[in-house]
Amino acid sequence: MSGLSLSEDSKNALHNESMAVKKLKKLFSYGLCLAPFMLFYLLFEVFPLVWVLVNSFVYEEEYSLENYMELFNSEFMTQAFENSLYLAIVSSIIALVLALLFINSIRTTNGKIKNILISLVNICSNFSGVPLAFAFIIILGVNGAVTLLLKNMGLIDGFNIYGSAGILTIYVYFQIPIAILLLYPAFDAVKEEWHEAARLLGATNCQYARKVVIPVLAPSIFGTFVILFANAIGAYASVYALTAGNYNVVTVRIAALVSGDIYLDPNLAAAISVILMVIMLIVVILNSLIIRRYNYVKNK
Amino acid sequence: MSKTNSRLYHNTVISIVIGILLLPIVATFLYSISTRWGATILPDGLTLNWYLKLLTEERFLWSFVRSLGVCFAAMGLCIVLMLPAIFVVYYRLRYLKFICNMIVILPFAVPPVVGSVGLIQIYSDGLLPISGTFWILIFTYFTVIIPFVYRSIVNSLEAINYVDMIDAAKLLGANTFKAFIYVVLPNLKKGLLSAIFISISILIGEFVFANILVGTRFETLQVYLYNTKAVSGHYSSALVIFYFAFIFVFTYLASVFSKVERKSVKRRKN
Amino acid sequence: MSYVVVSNLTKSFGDTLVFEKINFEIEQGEFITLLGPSGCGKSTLLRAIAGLNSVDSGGIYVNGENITYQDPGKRGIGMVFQSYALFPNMTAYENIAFGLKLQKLSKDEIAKRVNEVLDIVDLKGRENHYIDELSGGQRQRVALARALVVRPRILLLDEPLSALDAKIRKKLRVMIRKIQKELNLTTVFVTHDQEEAMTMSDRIFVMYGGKIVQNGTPSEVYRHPVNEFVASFMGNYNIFDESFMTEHFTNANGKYAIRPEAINIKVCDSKDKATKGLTNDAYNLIGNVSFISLLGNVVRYNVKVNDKELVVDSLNNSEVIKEGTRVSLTLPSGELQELKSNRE
Repeated sequence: MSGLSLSEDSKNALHNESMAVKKLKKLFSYGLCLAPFMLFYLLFEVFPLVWVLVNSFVYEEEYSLENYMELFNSEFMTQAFENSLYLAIVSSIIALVLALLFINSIRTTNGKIKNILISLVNICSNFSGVPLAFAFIIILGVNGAVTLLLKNMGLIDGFNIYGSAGILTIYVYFQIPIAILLLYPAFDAVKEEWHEAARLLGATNCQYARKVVIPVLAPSIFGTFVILFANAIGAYASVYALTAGNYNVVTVRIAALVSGDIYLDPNLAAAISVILMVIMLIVVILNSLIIRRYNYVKNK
Repeated sequence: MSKTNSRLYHNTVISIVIGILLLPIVATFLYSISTRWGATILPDGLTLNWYLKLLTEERFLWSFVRSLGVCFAAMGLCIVLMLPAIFVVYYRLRYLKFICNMIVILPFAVPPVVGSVGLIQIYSDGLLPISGTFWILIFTYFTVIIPFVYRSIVNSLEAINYVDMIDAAKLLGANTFKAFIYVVLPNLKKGLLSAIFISISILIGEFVFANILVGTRFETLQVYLYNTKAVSGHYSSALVIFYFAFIFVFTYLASVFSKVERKSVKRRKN
Repeated sequence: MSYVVVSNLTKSFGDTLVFEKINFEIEQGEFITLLGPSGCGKSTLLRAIAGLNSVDSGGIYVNGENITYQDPGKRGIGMVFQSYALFPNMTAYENIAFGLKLQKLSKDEIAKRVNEVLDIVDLKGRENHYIDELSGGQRQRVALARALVVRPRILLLDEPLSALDAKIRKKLRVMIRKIQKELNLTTVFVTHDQEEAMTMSDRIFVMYGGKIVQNGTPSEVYRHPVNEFVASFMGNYNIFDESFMTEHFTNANGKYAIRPEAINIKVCDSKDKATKGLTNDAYNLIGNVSFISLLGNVVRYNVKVNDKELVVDSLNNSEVIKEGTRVSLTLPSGELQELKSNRE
């Protein structure tokens, strides 16, 4: 052992030096792995957002709140926000309710049918945007099959797919599959044994639902609502394709200001975008405040 | 509620929701194979002419090729950039996972319209004037699929015991790079395939960026679809059905691979 | 000098010390077990020997050569992981051949050596199956074969049997020990299972709180635990504190322990009385049987003496004493072990 300890010191000195080199090499290889991704991410995700944020405060090459003032003073713009909020909130709630009823029902079917139905929903979730708008024109347009059917049955006089009811319908349509796909896994957390246990303890179906199922599902329901809301308020393709940009929602306003043929004002578009993001942020924060009440559900 | 009544109720709910979801697709399909369908509830006659016309239309075929090209390029770029980054974070810098999740959620949270406001201004001139070309689409699409590619790769990475596997390979004489290539990467195959299919089915349906950033200068499938709406409803329907069949196949494949993954995870746990 | 020397090895993660000033020597062909509860630092120590964790100070020497800062692949160490860490994209054969391929051996040479180890671990005929298609025990043997095929100087086993069920575990214990003896392979085995440690090892190093608290042959460690921790970890030792000792036996400092099978138990006659002090080199206690468990060849009695519950094992070859019976216990004084405090 005594022979070892002598060489140990010199070896350790050598080792310290080579460790420094090794550490540098290590850091370099980490950088090499992370940098390319970060570069592209900064260029095409972060910078555009920073540009939007900064330039929303630029009016005629000077920093000011003028863009925001213009926004809030324009009835046209506030109407766009009203329409967007209305569409987002109402379509999300309707889609949520339908999704909950649907999932509750398919849980009673056997595994195979359940899988087929979920796959079907998954595929329908891709049916949105321009193709969906076309399909809607075909079935619900002035001469659409469903419009005619309902007219013949005497249920309606006519249906304006290009108005707010029509647009709400298309929003609900593309929200339903998303709501189902997001909520379906959450229902797995509700175990059938709980129902049996609750019944043995003397709970009615209604009590079981109120005291067990809803509290367990609540965080998922709120979480799903946030995603649906964000999805709807940011939606553009469907409404643009359906109305050729004639229906006044926030996203249509933004797009018109950066790529329209009449009047371009990217900084005003930036200001609208910032407000839009702030609205989304508020919803997210509200949601996390609500979910905190259910903190016994441990989210990883 | 009695047994039969509750069965009836559940079946009704299922039928209504599925009916709502399928109605536009079925109607579009019928429209695409009918000769004429106006002012009546059912079409007049059936034909495959619209599909023939579609397959002989060069502008359509080119738009399809362009779309595929951009999608695959964006997806390739995304995987090449993300694989090493994810690997380093999950193997060596695990405390960065938390930041990763935030980075990855951003493209999902920002509406494309908002993103395009900044993109169009930054890349119209200056150092990188690529607005209006397919380059900006590739790079933007790269950001669009980040959340999906990340999830797929991370899911299949977490399904294997990659830390021990790399250690084992190192003890047998491999360096980290070799261990990654021989031992980790082959086990991510299913995750990567599912990432590829999900990405393609999402990107092939992308309209907002394509229309605002590039438009007709590099016409993709969705932009073409939008621009032909005035031509003929039947023709457009055939196009919609074609597109739908395409994403049908891709989402199906994606689900197959992500399912296989889940099964093998289960088996390993048992 | 011994074949493997570990001197003053210290490792901490941030502020938490994992192990400190570890010193031991292993002879060539010895089978050593690092035994301790989870979190005692045994696995990290093993990984440090393998080179998978760095150390803060100290040295590891194999055959006189300092390997402390060598890359894991160059140390000549084979390791079987708790999770096996087999490569699911490869067959059993490919898993085993992986290390040889990296050494760029010829195909024939690889085939020859893989077949050799397949024989050793008794996996002939299963080599073309993927890992998913093998049972737990088979996977474990593939992992062992993969570590053996590169002819390591030291074999490290990190709880290799913990994922298996009891029967297979017992079979594999024997197999591993046999192979180890045949190949005269220096082996370090990590486990938290004292039975496993006792049946397999030449020597056991008991670890606690980042230190090796006792080092000896299985029977030394079992019969003469140095402190309370080892005593309670190695068996169901009865531990008596100062006040119990003074009250029932004799004035004493510190704690004492006795193995449950060292105590004699018999049904109390009316004339039996608890006597303080030695009678025939043994101490006597009177108590009531509070609980009985049959462990097959052994009956385990829990006996209540005042407020203290003692565990007494006796061979299952006579009438089992009933619960509630008054019994007299005889504790040979030579079997009482004095314990050091855990800190020492």
